Amino acid sequence: MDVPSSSRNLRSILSSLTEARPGERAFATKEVSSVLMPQGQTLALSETEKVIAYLHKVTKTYDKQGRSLSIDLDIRQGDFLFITGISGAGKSTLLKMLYGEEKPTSGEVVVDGTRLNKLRGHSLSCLRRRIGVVFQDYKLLPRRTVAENVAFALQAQNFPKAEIRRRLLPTLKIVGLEEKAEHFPEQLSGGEQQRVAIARAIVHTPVLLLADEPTGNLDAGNTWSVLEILRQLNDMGVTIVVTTHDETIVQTFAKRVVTFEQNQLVELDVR
Amino acid sequence: MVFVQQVFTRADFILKETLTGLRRGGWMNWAAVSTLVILLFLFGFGTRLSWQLQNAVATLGSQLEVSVYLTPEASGKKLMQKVETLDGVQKVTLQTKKDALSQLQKEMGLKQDLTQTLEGNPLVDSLRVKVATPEQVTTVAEQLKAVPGVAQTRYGGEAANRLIQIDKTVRWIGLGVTGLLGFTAVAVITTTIRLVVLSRRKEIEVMQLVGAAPIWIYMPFLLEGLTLGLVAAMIAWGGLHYTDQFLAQQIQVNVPFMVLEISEEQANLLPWILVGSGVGLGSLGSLLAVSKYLR
Ligand SMILES: Nc1ncnc2c1ncn2[C@@H]1O[C@H](COP(=O)(O)OP(=O)(O)O)[C@@H](O)[C@H]1O
Ligand SMILES: [Mg+2]
Repeated sequence: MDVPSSSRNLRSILSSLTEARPGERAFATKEVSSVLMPQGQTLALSETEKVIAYLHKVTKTYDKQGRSLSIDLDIRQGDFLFITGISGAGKSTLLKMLYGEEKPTSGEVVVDGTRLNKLRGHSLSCLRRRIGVVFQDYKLLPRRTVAENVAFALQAQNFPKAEIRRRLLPTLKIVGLEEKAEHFPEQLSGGEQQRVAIARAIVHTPVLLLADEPTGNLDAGNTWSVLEILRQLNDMGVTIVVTTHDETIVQTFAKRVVTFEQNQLVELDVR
Repeated sequence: MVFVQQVFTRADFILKETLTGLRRGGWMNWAAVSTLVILLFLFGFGTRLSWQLQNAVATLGSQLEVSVYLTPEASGKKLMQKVETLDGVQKVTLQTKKDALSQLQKEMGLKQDLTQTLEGNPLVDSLRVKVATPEQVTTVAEQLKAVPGVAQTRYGGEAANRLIQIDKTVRWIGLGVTGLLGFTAVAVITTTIRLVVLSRRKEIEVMQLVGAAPIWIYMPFLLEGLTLGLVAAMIAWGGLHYTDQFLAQQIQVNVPFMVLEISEEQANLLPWILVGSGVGLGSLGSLLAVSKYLR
């Protein structure tokens, strides 16, 4: 099975990426590197942990149905948050509101200090550069190779060539695809495509990673390896929000779980 | 340095995207370019014709000579003294009907005496009246018409007036035709670019989602429209240049007395007008195609 390199390897790769250059963003911030600890140990995140995104008194109604979602959620720095609920519950909608693809009907959505309610155009694109999104349907470009797909995000964000070169290989290593860099998406398995999507979402070192059902179409082995990658990223300080309808993986990986119950988002106690 | 580097990364990313777009446009590019070429050619042709007419008007209008044709029975010699006393008249020269006939005979290259063939001299005496200032030409011509024995007067201003009428017509027709064609050209360009946008909507969607600035997303399409306009302008100018030479030759051979010229500045200005209009219409077309997404 094509599980990525050992976790020690991953750590050194990630560290190389996180060496911040002047004026650049990096994975690790001071607060987060202090909570880096050996795997398996739970993190005692205090309630005072910085909130990096929130939805306050948000409702969302689609015109056709009378149904309305109501959401109140704080996402704190260092969270590994799972959003669960049956298919159609509103998980994707919640994520879309976090990256500005859907607007709330009422309430307030703020990510990394930016209010998203009326954000569009250039300001919206600036916000999106600070977050990474793994889409439910991957959204890979079929006529571009793995490496090109990942580099595409950096080109779109105006990264200099040398910087694109510097980031590409380490990122592909994180997801275990350095051997397949020149393959086209259709030559890859579902699990591999999913990992390309993750690579593209993290290559610009976002502070917040949103993954919409990243294991939805994967077998047990691939599911485990994808979540292991996400956990490593989380250990390095990336705040991660994952949606899933698969309750079994939640137990193993989640630090926090919220779920949709009758159109209302509620927090579950995981401990 | 980093900034310079970024601009270069940007530049070749955008140029690559522009070329890809042009390739995907396929035959639609040619439809767009052809429409634009026809439009720009006619526009350029009309503009040049209008300039030529205006220049001809200016030349004719500044002519200070009035030709006076007398009635058959009037004598030029007698009338000459009277005409010389008129206000504004500087100099009068006489051409008798005899002189006129022999000149005609010479011009036609005939040996025999025309008076016999024609049974008498059908021509009339005429006077060439030189006027002091251009403003006086019309008044002098009017006064001359009132003199008994004068059948007709001719002066540059009259011809100029007729040319002004022609120029006006040319301009109205030009405005109508270019307006209509301009509308068509923009519509064709918009359709072309929209098809390319459509064929790339997945890339565009991903670019938007990963945080590419809207202006960078749509720059390749604007450049594409601009390129179409530029290519069309160059083709149209080439065509115009060629027809100009051809027409000038034809005029030289067939109607040598006709002087239709444009000044050097106008000749230099014409290609820039074409490039400006082509690039303007091309950009407008692509702007309309992507405006929906730019908001
Ligand atoms: N663009 C849309 N227009 C109308 N209804 C929509 C739209 N997108 C999603 N929905 C509806 O909103 C609900 C939540 O959808 P979604 O967030 O995709 O659910 P999940 O991701 O939890 O499966 C569903 O009932 C779906 O049918
Ligand atoms: Mg969904």
